[in-house]
Amino acid sequence: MGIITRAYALMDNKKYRCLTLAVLFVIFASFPLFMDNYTLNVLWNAMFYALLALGLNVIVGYCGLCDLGYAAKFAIGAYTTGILIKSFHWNFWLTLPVSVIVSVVTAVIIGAPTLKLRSDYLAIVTLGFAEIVRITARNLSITGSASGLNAIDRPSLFGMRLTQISQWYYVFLVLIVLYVVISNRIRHSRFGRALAYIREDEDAAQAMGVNTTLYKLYAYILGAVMGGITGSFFAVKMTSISPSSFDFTQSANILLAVILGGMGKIPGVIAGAAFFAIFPELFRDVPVIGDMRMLFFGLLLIIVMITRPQGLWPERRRLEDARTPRAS
Amino acid sequence: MSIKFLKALSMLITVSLLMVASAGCGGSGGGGSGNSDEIVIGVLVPTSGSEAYYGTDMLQSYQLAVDEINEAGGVLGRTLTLYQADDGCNANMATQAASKIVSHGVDFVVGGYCSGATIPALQQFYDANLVTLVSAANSTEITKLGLNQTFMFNSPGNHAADTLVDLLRFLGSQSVALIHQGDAYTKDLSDICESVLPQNGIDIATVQVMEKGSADVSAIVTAIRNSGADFVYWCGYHADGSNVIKQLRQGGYEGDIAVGDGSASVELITASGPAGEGVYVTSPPFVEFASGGDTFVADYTAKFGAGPGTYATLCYDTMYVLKEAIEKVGSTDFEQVRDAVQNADYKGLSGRIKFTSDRELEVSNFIILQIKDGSFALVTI
Repeated sequence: MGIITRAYALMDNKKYRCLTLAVLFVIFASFPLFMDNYTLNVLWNAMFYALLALGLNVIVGYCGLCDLGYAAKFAIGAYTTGILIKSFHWNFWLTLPVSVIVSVVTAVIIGAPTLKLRSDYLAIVTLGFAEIVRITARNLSITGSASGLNAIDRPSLFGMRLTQISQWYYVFLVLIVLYVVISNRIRHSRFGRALAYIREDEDAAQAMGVNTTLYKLYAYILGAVMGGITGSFFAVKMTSISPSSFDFTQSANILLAVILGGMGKIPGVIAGAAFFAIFPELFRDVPVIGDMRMLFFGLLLIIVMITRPQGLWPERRRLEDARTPRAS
Repeated sequence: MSIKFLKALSMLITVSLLMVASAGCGGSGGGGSGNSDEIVIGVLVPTSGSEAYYGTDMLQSYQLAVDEINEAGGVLGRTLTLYQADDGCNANMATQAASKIVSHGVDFVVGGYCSGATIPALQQFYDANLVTLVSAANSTEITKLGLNQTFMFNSPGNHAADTLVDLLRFLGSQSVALIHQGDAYTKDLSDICESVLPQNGIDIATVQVMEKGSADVSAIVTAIRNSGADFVYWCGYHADGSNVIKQLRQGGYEGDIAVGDGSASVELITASGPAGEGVYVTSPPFVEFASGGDTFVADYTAKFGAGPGTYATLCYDTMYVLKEAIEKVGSTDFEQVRDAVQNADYKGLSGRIKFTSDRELEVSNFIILQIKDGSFALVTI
């Protein structure tokens, strides 16, 4: 076993897990005390991608469905919140339930007919749906057409208006903790085990009495809702959203973060997202290499995928799968 | 190649990149407003991605102006230095670049090319009490934000529409077809034309959308011919503009064609070839047609090895307006400089710079050009 694998095993150890998480939380919570706004903003961006990746992880990692249009899910949340605040002057916190409802409805519309089929079809449908959302947003006047929605009012929390990046940092840190807890509970629930069964062998799952279509739909809805809520927070943090923020590259990036980190593994997915957000920023100011940073980034991605095809920090079950090849 | 070798290679690349990155961060850190001998100006322009050409051109124009000012003794005895951050023409990157500029402790901010990337960044500069001079981005959305320290040095879209109306009256055209590309800037321009032209008694025959980079525009050409338009206004960028012009002519369209400032580039002439002859351009102030432009072009070319681009004069003037404002109030105090810029009346390469109460240019700086014998010629109406 390599050093990395042993380090992962140590952190996976139940005895130390609570302690490790507590120490990590304290370390991350203390960052705004001594870091400048720029560093916080980069970390915020990493957390934002981590939230999206955690949402997509339910669909891709837990259930094994392929979603190529995750940007549409967070676009729906962002636009719902944006429109309600801009056009109807709602309070931000009241828009969250609406955002959830809209996410559920669209997920059912997309998921119900396609999830009955094999999951490959879902990839095509989600890809098309993401384009539909983006182009619709670009052409409707209520979504601000191509310019998008600007000057979205910032929300207040406990009588404090959230304008500073350090405040947003804490809001997103709390969201991360929330998402991690939710993901963890799903994974170890009856529902989570059913999803794992579907992912490993859909036919066997069906034969054992798992209602595969329904469970796949639940997972899809859950992923969409998590994306929608992230989108709502994104809209008020950025104060402006436009169709160009939700293009295919965005969907591909989130999916890559999940695959790179290790599908189904919560810390792996977060690490993948952080890698995605932070790596290009690190090299921005370095002369010569700075201009070629995306080249190195691509190169590194390829090498990682060759050497660690299960992701940077894969789920243990998958790791064992990879080590003991199947008989066939 | 064995897996072991790849592993070692990836480790090597990661470690060496991290080392270089940490060295780079160490070098670029520090500085800022703590040093009273310097006035630090943050520059937010795209120097990577599809719009890198324009961003680099803008950065070089600022640099030229700053070097000239410093050689002449600086401002209030202090030297100007630039601190650039790349917005990549992307909203997410722009917010990070903006926070980088704010964290660096700059005194003022200039820049802004892509409206979509500039708008999210502007709020941060407002929150940080930094006078912000936007040189190129000209979406009317910027004005709608109502930020009282943000000034637009480029004429907004409604000025382009006014210039277009002048041209249409001059040519006696009655019915106009508009084509845009569905993004923030081109659709904004098209929408403005759609409301301004009918107010001046000119019909809108049809509005067409051409996706960026699509090769076949025959459907659009047919629609325009069937609409009976005697004038076509292309609101998009030069990359697709030349294709549209060529196919319009091939499709038998014989009326006049004009293009907006997104296509005001020499590239348009070379790419459209003979089909481009006679095409009109509602253009930002091209340096070749500005008085005193010759020395600017010579200095710029000598320094950077290539001629200035479309927005070079605007950036150059931006820096001088800032310099005059600081000198007028004798300090870099936020409110005083802001008010001084608000009341500025400067005659620069790009024309007269004077602001309305909405912090837009009072006088349009648009000019009308026509492609004649493979180069731009000024049209005076």
